[in-house]
Amino acid sequence: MSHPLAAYRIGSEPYYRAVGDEIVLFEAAFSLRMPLMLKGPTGCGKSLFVEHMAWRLGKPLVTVACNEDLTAGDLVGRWLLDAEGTRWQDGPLTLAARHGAICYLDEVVEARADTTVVIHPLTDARRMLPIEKLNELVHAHPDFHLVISYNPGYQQAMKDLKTSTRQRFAAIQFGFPAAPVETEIVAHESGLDGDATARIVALGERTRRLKGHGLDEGASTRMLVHAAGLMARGIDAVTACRMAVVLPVTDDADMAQALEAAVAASF
Amino acid sequence: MAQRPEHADLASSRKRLGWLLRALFDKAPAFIAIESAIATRRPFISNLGIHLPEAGRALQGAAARRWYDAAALHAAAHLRYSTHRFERGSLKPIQMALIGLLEDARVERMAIAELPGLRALWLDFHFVEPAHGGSFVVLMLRLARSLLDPGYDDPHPWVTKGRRLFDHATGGGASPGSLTPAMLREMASLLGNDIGQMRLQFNSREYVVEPAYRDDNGYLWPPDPAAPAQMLATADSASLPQRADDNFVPARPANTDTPPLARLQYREWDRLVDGYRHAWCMVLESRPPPGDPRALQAGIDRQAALRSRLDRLLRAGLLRERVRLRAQPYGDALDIDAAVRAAIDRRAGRPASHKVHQRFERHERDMAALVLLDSSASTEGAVLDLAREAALLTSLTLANAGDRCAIHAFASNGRHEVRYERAVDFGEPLDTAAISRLAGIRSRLSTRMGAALRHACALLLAQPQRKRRLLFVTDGEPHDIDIFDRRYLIEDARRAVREAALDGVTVFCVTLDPAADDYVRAIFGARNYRVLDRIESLPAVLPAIVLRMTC
Repeated sequence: MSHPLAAYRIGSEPYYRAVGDEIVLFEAAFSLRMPLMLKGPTGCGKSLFVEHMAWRLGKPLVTVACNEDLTAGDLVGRWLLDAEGTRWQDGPLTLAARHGAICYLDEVVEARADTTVVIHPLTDARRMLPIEKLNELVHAHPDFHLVISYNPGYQQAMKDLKTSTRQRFAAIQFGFPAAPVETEIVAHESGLDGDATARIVALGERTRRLKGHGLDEGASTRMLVHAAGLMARGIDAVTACRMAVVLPVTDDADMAQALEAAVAASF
Repeated sequence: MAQRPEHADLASSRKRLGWLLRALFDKAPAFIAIESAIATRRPFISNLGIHLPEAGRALQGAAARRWYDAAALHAAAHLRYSTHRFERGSLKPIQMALIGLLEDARVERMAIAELPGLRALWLDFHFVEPAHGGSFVVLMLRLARSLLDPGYDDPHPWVTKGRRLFDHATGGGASPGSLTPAMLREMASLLGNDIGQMRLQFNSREYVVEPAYRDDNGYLWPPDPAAPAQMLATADSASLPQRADDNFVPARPANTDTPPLARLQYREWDRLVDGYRHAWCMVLESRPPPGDPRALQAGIDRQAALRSRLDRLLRAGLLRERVRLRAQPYGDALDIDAAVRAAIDRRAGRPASHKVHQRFERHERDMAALVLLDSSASTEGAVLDLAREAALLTSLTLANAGDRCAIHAFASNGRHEVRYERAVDFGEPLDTAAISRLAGIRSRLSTRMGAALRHACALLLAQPQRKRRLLFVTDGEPHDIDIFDRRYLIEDARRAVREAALDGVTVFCVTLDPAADDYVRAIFGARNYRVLDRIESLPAVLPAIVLRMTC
């Protein structure tokens, strides 16, 4: 039987353009197995960064996209039925802790606070996971490393991390890269080259000025990559930006008109 | 794609223009309406912001929107790039007009260097052609177009010269930033002399900047002591209520159950006979006349931090209302734990439960809330202002969370005249008109609580919502000119609160009188009131009140 984490290994190098010293910081935290929190707006490359680091460190990566219906059982595991009777199925967190993987809880504030508490014994000196339903104490594998991501601006009013949770983590701040770097990223990811990429990135920066003024977030790097990708397929700039940026980012008719005018002015 | 029918006037464009200028130029000027009564023919820039016509251009729909975009973006280009103020000195009017035209071309080129799409936007309004003639006005238009449109070739020697001078000074148009004010003056003076030699008419009184999206270029010059009065446009016109004549507009269509502006009789409890006096009090409904909303609006704006705290409070509550129901006979997903228990039971030969599903249920907020203000004479001044602000903050918060809110006020003048003012009705937006009606409530007369409470309850019961809440804001104990027994009206009000509870309306009281304990406790019950005595205690008291209103 193959290794339980074989499917979670990352075969080829995921593209990641370092913006600062985040790779060095991550490696240092990993060597200490220090739990890490990646903070930053949506679509700025947090998940891509974790994938890249898992590849770089040669560790399997177990990712959980958190949502408000996620229960502790969904993370830890549960009993299932089969022909012989009941059978225990490890959840993603147990899987990573037992066999040694980087466990990445994406958008962890989306999970309810009481769910998040199950990670506590794994994130301090104990490094263990008690599974009461199984009556087992799992001691974390030496390779186990916990990483969470979190967007402080997003729905901050509604959701927040408990103090007891947030104080277990060291944090790396992510943001949108400076224009030349972002242009390089968009060009690489979309295959679009030349002046058009720079114009798309400039448009992205313009929409980010509207954060807090009608928009919750400006266009993310991911959105700009989408727009550039459509343009690389021969779609004209205004249509591509309407499809990839304007329409997804707002439902407000006035805002959509303002953004369309901004797009028209940018090309 | 379907287009909604649209009018594009300044009022409907304000939001869009604000966002557009912030995105493109990182500027957030105010947009001020030039009233049609003022005879300004062009937009202009002042220290208040960008002045644009209210409406009334011959354009409609998308074309009008483009006109406003073009005008606002041209003005924004001045704000960004016209950092120099020219000296009038000995300049002739024609040279000033030419400097304006050249500066317009310069800032537009600068903006286009960054935002190439703007060229097409502005060129839409440059449709002059050589065939239109060679008068001074047309030549100016032709030069303006020629400086903006690289694809336009004008045969007129003066236009060609203007373009050549401009291109020469900007390295073929590539670096408009290298054009200095002195170079612009020089070019204007050369071109102005040519106009004189061509013996063309220039009438400085009649002259207006063309095309019409461009502002009057008054911004480029230091203030002229002899400036015409048109510059004194009122900045306040945007924030004043639009109409002053809507104080007697019915809140609902006339065919609903309760006719608007009713006269209704209510019973009253007489503690001495220990029974009701039927049809005893007359409630007269009206709508308050609009007042000046600015003070109230400013008060609310000052409480922005409190407002966002209140919004957070309610949103956290909203989340809690989503509940997972386990071990259900039917549902969206298997309840794994219940299914395992059932399977174990079955294999053990015990009767197994069929309740193995789970589902989520969201307890909808389904609430109508009425804030009833005591506007009797004793509330005159700061007390009523505080009551208004608390009422508005509460309603804004609840309305934001999806509740249906109303704000009414009452004052009495004997049992035949309980005046009941519907400032904001259920379902009405809490906009400037509503706030100005709220500001229009005046302190007067006395406090006959019972009748007002009964009427408010009747209005709440007419709402379809499942939960009904009444927030009663008062500054003192009930009294009226025809009652001399202090306990009579207290007993009646207490009775009215009990009737409301029996009908499922929860009544909560905010008293603005710190010494109110005994009678407020008697009327509303020991746990159903809060004291709010100063504006400074709003942040401390309002969250508790809002929470009380919700649960």
